[in-house]
Amino acid sequence: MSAKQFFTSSSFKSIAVLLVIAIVCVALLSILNPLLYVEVGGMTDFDGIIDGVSFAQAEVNPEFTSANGTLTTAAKSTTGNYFGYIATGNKAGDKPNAYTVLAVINGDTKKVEGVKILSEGATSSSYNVTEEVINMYKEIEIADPTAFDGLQFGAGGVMAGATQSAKTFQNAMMVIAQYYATYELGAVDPSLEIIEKLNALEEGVTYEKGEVYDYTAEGIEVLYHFNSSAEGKIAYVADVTVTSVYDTAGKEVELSESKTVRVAVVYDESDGYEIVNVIVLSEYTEDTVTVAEYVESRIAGKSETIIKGTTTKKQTNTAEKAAVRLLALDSFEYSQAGTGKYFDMLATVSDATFTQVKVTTQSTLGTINFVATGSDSQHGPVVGVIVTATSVGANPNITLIALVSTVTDQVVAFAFNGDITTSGYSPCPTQEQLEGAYLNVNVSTATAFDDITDGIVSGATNTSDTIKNAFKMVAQVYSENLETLSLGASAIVEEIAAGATATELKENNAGENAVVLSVYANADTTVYVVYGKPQGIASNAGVFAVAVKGGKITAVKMISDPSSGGYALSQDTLDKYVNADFTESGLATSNVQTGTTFSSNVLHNALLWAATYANA
Amino acid sequence: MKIKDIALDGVVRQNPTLRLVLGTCPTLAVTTVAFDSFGMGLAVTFVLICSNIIISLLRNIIPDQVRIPAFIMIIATFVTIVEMVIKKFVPDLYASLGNFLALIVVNCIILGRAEGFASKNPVGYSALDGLFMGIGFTLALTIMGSFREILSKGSIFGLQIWDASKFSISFFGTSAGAFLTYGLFIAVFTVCYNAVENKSRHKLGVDVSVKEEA
Repeated sequence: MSAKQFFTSSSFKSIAVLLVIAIVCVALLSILNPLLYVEVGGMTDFDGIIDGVSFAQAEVNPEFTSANGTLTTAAKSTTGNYFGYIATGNKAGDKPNAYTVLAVINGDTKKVEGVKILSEGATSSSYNVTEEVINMYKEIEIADPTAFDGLQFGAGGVMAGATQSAKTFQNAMMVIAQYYATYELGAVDPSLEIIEKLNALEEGVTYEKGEVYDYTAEGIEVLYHFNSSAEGKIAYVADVTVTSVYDTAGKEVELSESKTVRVAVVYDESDGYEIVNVIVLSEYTEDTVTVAEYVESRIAGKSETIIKGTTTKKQTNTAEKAAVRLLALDSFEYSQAGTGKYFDMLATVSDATFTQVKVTTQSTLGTINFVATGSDSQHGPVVGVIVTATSVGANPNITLIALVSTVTDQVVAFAFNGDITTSGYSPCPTQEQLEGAYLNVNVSTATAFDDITDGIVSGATNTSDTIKNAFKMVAQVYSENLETLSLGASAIVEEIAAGATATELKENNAGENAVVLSVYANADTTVYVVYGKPQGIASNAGVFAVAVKGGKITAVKMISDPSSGGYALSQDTLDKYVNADFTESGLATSNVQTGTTFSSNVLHNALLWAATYANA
Repeated sequence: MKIKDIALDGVVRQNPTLRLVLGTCPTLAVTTVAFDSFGMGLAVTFVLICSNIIISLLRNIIPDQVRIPAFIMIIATFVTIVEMVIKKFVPDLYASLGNFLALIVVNCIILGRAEGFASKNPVGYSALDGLFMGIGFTLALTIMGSFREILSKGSIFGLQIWDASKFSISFFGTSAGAFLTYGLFIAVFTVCYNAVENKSRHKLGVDVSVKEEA
């Protein structure tokens, strides 16, 4: 082929045309590139956040990690002193989506100046984080990584009515604050250093940051709360303001200037309520007696009562020691603040004064929050059980407050924490349906509710099943701790009236001084289980079983002793009622055991009321 | 050739999505929400118009043996331009459409119209063909996207019509729902098209039992 033939051939034409087209296309794109090309890294997201300020991508430190989410992008302004970040916060609660948030921080003021939500975490517009909440973040100076920790906005939580959305958004903001404070300010989360010191106190016991109890006290500002791997132990850190100390003679000396001392306390919340250890975190100036020695000799190992009554003032001659003493005296109250919300919940179902009981029961259906015993004016000795059942479906978890009679071992009252019929919950069984299914069920076995179907409502299956699981947890807790919680009334009834079975209670079972809790009967004997209300120093719940045959008392047994402090009623005293007519006149004379007047009165009131009830 | 015929072909008679069943990939993938569907439709329309114009202009220059690579280069250039524009000015749409923007290059509609119309017709008609084919594609996608968004999210173009947590059929947001929706739309469109076609033939006195030639 000659050159002329080659240059006129179709092959050459094809190649030439393709080349020309390619060159023209590339040329066109080259012209448009500077106008249209966007840098990789999504810097356009930052455009317009701060007027007139553009951003260039910065490298994200690969060592950064956060328990609240992930930081995906960092940027630095090309003019001015601004730092831009994009972070995705962990989903809170039952939120299906996370929030991806862009925030720009002014390096001069260390405050957030611009926020843009890149990915909305709310499932509905009614749950979106509001401008008002976003503006609150802009008011806070980021001095350390914990700047946005534990924020509470508005009544009822982080954002009323949209708590989980607000917490998910907060997680994203916390990630940004943590990264900025750590890498731009060089600030370290102060709690990490404190955790190191706490972990060094006792071998095998470690601490991790938890939520501060809702607690306030004059001169004491609680900063951090730590949960430990040891059962019942917590630690917390507070700034204590000291205005006076005590000299060696025990005389109070006002300080010319109040001093704030930072103290960490390790506290055992189990039965003993003890201070276990104390660390002064502020600079300690006294060089004669160390704080550790002071703690060992005066506070460590002592119960709350002893600390309140006998802690000497003589060893508080420095502000640090005075702060330690003040915080130690306050520790019991702080500890109780953690459980305060549970006592409030129990108050919705009972007028009893409750005492917390430690149980070790674990459940796969949810969390066992709180167990406490008390005496209810209507139901006698009861145990309050608060559990949170993990949701079966898309509806939120349900917290059940159940009241179980330790005499009858039955559920006598219950309520739920919060309104479970508002939006966000699937339709709910009615109160009547729930009471019909779950009230008066004997929970002495863990399977008490397994076969219950009455409370499962078509169209509300998820909520119904979650509620059922909550009750199953209550049965599990009670049955696994039957020995310590139940008064064993059924065994005593069986002893005095073999084969007696429960009969229906009449409506007017509650009297002024006593309440008939249950009635059992066999062929010829009726047993009344009656709760005598406290009298005087007989402050505990007195519960008795009285067997009646042919109108006469055949046996009286004590199920629960009303006395306190070693003045128990003897069986002899109870037996003095045997053969008496079971009438008001027959019981006119009370049998007072010497030294136990009040307890004897409780017994007599109980029997009198049982007779009144029976003969009504 | 009348403009009316070109318009009717593009929007109805040869609707690329519902009649010719071309461009199925973006149809199924991006029609989860109306906004993304509309955006994709506009992007394809832009590429169709521009590529048809250039290819029509060069139809007597590009040799037959290399027409496909040449068409693809031209189409790819315009797809790159539209991608850059969307990324710069509508980054949310760019993030939503993802790789399907770049895949417009191999969209059968564009290559098909380039090969079947633009390479054989004048610039004006080719531009109009691109426009109306794009409109037909956009309409089909937008209606499908609206349908799926309403049923799965309770909103349209991002505007919440009802609370999705109270009622939604999330199935229509899934791939299976996309197939079902597409099939339903093709069925409905075909039934309506045939009914209208038969009616107009009846008016013209044409025997409706005679089948169309392929």
